[in-house]
Amino acid sequence: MSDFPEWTPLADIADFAGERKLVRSIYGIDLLLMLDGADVVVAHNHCTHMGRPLDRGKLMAGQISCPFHGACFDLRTGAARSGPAVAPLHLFPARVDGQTIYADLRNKPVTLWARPT
Amino acid sequence: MAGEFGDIVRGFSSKASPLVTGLLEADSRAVPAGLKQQGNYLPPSRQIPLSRYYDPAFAELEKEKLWKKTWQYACREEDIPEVGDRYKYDVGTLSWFIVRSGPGEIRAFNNSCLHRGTQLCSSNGWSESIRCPFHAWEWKLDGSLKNIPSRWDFPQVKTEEFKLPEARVATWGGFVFINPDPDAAPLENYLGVMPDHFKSWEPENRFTAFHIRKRVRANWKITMEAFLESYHVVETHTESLGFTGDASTQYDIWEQGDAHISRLITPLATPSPHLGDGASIAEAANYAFQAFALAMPGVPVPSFDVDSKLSGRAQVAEWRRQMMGAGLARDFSSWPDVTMIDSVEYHMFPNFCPWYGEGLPLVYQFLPYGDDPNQSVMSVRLTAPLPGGGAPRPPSAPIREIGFDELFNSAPEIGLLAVIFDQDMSNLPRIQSGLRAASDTRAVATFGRYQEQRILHFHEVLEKTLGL
Repeated sequence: MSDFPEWTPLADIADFAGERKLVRSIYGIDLLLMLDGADVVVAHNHCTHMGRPLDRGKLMAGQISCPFHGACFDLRTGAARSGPAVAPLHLFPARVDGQTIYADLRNKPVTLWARPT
Repeated sequence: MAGEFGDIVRGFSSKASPLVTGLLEADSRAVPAGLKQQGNYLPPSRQIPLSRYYDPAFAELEKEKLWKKTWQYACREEDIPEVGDRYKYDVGTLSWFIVRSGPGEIRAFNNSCLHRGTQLCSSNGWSESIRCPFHAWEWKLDGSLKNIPSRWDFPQVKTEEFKLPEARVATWGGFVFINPDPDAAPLENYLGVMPDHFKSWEPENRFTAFHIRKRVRANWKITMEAFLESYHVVETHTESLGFTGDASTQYDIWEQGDAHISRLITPLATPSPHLGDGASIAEAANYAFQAFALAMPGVPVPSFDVDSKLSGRAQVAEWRRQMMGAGLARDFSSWPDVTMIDSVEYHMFPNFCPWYGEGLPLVYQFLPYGDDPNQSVMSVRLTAPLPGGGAPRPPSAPIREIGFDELFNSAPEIGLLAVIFDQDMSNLPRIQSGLRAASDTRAVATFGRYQEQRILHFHEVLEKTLGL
């Protein structure tokens, strides 16, 4: 836990601008916001396989695939569904209030170093 | 009865359960010529040594002279619909991955990094390039070298010489085949009668509704051979005798150059000839109604109408046409009874079994598993017709993996079929154990002349392929 507030505003729905993925970095945490149908999913933008960013990945119904080595994660649970990853993708609790997307970032994943670009 | 192959008896019928030729003549619709066509070959009777099912040296011979040299079904086109999608295809310790490398373009690569051999694709999925997780050697989707980190350290590596090695790829009917042998004849030479026979059914216009991969403690040939004959139905699937023409099944083989194709047609909604001349045709229809209804939960289940002018088989087929037509917004009114209800299984050497028709629209694939010849993996797909009315193509179902000691029954999506598969699966490890315990004086398999001819044919082609 940290001193972050319970709900941190991340973006507005309009920021997606017709896309389904949106990148944010807040409190030094790399975030990937995704539209999965009507749901907004907020994930750590680090693949648990090799720590690569997921934002160029392929977003399909209920899952995202890493563009680098093909690790695939469940967007509901974060579980690694196929590919080389074993550990689950870190998902943050999220909600939409009006047009604003909030997430609870207090339980942030441990990262040892800045993600490679 | 005597058939055209000398004194061989070509199936066993009863007054209640005619042979397939009689059922096709009585079909309520015109039957496609391919289904009426009969085979051109019957293999001679002989015994097969049991050692080939467990001998590591035989498995090694298969690896070098069969799997590295033959056209083999790997996956379906709908498994890799978008550029960058990839499908991992393992044959024992051999491994390739099939990539949608461009619109309308599919390639197959050896699953091994040209740097130090790391596996490049660990499972089905998607990626924007082909990138090794060890040191990030990277290839474009067409297999050309894209990047080597610390390129200065590899002056001996010439970019044009470090394309990923490829297997040949060809498609038919939505199926993707590979052949690692660059000198092999084209796939068309190996498909034989299948394109003609399947034309009326359009396997390309179907999608994978479920896909299961079951690991089995038996050699891949043992597993496959259990599905090449209906002779075992009387003992292994006793509950289905009331509506299955097991002994009246028709078997055909076509030998045409490189093409080695065989087929069985097991009629449904007809009683087993084993039940005798007095077996109930009405009960056969009613059992069939109930069996097919299990695959369509919620639909009303009719029963045999004694006042109908239609036969029991025709009644079941007509109900299937109406139910499927309503469910899929398509017109099945011209499809014959045999296509709607019977079990029609083809086999293309060495291990590909596409079924024809809506009776059992399955696809089987049998493969060695790991480096143990006592283990295999059986892939079972069910394909469904694409819905009509302009509906989009449904996505291919994900693969459900079922372990050695798990039941098909753990896959609820396959319904009644799970019971049947689990009955077959219970035999397979026992076969594998039993054949290794055979007396040295009787360590051979003996085959029925008619009902097990497809297995004999397979071994004849296998021996020729292996140079035995």
